Amino acid sequence: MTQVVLLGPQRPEPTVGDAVRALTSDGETVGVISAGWQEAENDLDDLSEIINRPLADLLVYARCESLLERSPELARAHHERQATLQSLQRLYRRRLQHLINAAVDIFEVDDTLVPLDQRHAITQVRALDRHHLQRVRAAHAAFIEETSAFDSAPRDALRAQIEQILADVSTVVITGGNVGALMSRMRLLGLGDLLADKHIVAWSAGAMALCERVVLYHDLAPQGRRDAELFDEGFGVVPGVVALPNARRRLDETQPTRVGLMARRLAPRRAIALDNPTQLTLAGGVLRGAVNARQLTRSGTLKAVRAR
Amino acid sequence: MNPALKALIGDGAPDAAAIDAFIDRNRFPLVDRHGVTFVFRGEAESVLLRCFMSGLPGPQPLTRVADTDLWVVTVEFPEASRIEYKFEVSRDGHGEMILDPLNVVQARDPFGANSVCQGYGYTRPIWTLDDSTAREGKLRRHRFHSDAFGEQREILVYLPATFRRNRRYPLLICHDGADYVRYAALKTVLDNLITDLDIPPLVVALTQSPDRLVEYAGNDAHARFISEDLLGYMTASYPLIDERRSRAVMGASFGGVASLHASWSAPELFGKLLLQSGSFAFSDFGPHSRGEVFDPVVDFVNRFRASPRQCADRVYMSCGVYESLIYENRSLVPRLQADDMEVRFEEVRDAHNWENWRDRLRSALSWLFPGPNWVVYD
Repeated sequence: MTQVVLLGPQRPEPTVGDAVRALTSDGETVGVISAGWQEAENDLDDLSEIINRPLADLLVYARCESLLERSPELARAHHERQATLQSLQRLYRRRLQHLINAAVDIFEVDDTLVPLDQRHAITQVRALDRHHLQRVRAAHAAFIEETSAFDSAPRDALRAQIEQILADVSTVVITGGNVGALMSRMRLLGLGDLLADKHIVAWSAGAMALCERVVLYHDLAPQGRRDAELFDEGFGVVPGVVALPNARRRLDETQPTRVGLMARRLAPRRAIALDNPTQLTLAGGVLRGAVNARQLTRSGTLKAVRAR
Repeated sequence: MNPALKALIGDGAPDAAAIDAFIDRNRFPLVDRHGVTFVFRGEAESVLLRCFMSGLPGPQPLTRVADTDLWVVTVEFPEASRIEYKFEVSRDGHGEMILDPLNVVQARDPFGANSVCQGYGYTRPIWTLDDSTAREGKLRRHRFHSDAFGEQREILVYLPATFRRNRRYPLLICHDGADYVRYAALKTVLDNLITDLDIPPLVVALTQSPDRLVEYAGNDAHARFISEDLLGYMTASYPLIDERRSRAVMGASFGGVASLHASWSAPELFGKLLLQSGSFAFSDFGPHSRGEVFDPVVDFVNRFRASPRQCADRVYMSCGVYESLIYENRSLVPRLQADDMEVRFEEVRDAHNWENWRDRLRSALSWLFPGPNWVVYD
C-alpha cells in the first residue's frame, strides 16, 4: 500500500531526508515536484544532499511555462481563469471579514441564550466557505470545458514525458513554496492522477495541496491579521485533514475564540498544524502515524494528534 | 510607589543587607503599570536622571532614601514607552554621566551607549533578535568612483541568502547603512523578515557618508551620487528589477532628509520611501531656531513644502512622540498625501535613536515590499 507523508517546514531541521529514505532503497531514484519554487524550481542541490538519493526533477513549472508559451490560446484561458480566481477570492474576502467578526463577537457574549446564535454564526461562515469553493470549482470546470476544444497534443506530450519519468520512480517529493503556483501547474498537466500509485512525501505547500481543502492563513502577519481563507480544493489524496504549515509562526494561539472558530469552520476535517519537525503518515487514506503534530480544537486549544 | 521599593522602605531606613537583597531580587529600573522607578546605589552629592527624549521638563533629581546610599525617582511614562537614559552623578563637585550600573539593557549608537528603560508593555520585537534558523544573507564591501563627489566611495551591499545571479531583485538604498547594521540590527532584521516571507528577497545598498550633516542636508551633489553614481553602479553590478516601484530609498534623521531629497530630485527613479524621524525642519516665517547646520535642510524643506511633487508612490514614515521632530514629521504627512502619495505614518513612544528605528523596520519594510507570506508556505 502506498504511503503519503506530510511534513512541516524544513527549517531548522530538515525531515524530508529521513522520510524519503524510509520509503526507498539506496540508489533508488526519487521524483521531485518543486513547482512551488517557481523560477527556482530546479535549484535541487540542497534537496539532493538532504535526501541522498538520485533525483528526477519533473520540471512541472518549466514544462507549464513552455506549454503556455507554445499554446497562446491555452495561455489566454489560463490567465483568464487565474484572474477570475483572484476576483472571486477578493469578493469572498470582503464578505468573510464581516462574518468572521460577527462570529467572534457572538462567541464572546456570555448569555444562556447565545449557543444557538453561535451555531448560526458558524453556519453562516461555513456556508460562505462552501459557496466560495463552489465558485472556484465552477471556474476550474469552465476552464476545462473551454480548453477541451483546444489542440491537446502539446499538453499530452509533456504529460507523457512526466509519465515516463514517473514510471521509474516509486516515490515523489512535493516541496513547499507558492501553493497557488504549485496547484495551478499540477492541475494544468493533470498530475493528480499520475501520482495515485506513488509514495508521496510532501512538505508545507506540497502538503496543503494534497488535502481536500487548501486554507491560507497568517494571524501574525506584519501588516496585521488576515482571516483564514479557503483557497481551493486540493488533490484530495489526504482525506479528512487540512494542513496548516508553520503554525507556530502563523497561528495566533493567544486567541482561542478565533482558533476554535477555525476548527469549527473546517470540521469534520481536522485542522492540523504542521511545524518542524511534524510528520503525519497515511496509508490508504488512514492516518497511521503522527509525530509532533497538533490539531486545532473547538475550544481553541491545540492538542496532540493521535493516529487512529 | 513601586511595590518592591515600598516593601523595602516601608518600615523605615533599610540596612545594607536588605538593600543588597533588594538589588539582587529585582531588575532595574523597576517597571510597573504606574511608572518607572529608577534606582541608583552609591555615595554622591546628587544624582540626576537624564532621559534622552523631549517632553520631560529637564533632568529628574533622584532622592536619597533616608540614611542609606540608595537614590530613587519615579517617572510616569505611558504604556509601551522605551526610554534611553543616563545618570549624572555628582561627587566632589564634579558631575559625571554614567550608564545605570544596575541595568544591563543598553543601546549603542555612534556616540557610545545609553541605558535603556523598557517601559510597561514594551517588549523587544522577536524579529530583531538573532534567529539561528534564519537564512543568513551576506554583506559585501564595494568601492567605486563617484562623479558627483569626484572621489572613491565605499558601500556595503546586503545580498539575501537565496541570492542568485539569474534572478532579479528589488533595490533598497539605505543612508547610514553601516550604522543601521551596527545599531539597528538591520542585517538580522533583513535575514529574519526574508526568511519569514514578510518581505521578498532584497538587495540593499548601504551607504555611509563621511560628512553626513552636509551631504544629507538637501545637497544636490549627494542626490546625484544616489541617483546616478550609486544606482548606476548597483544596476551594473547586480541583477535588479528595472522598475521604479522596485526601488526604495531610506534613512533616519538627516538620512530621512537625504532620502526625500534624492527622491524629489529624481522622482522617475524611486517608487518607495522609508523616512524615520526625518529632520524635516522648516520655517513658516522668519528664521528657524535649530542652528546653522539646519540651514540647507530648512531651505530644502521649505521649497518642498511650497511646491511638493510626487516623489514616490508609497511612503512609510515614523517618528517618536518623545522627539522634538514630531511636529515637523506630522506636518509633512498631509503635504505628501496631497500629491497622491500613499503614506503610512506611525508614531511611537520612543525618541530619536537607533532602536526606535530598528523596531519599526518590520512594519515599514513589509508595507513597502510586501512579502509572499500569504501564499508561500516553505
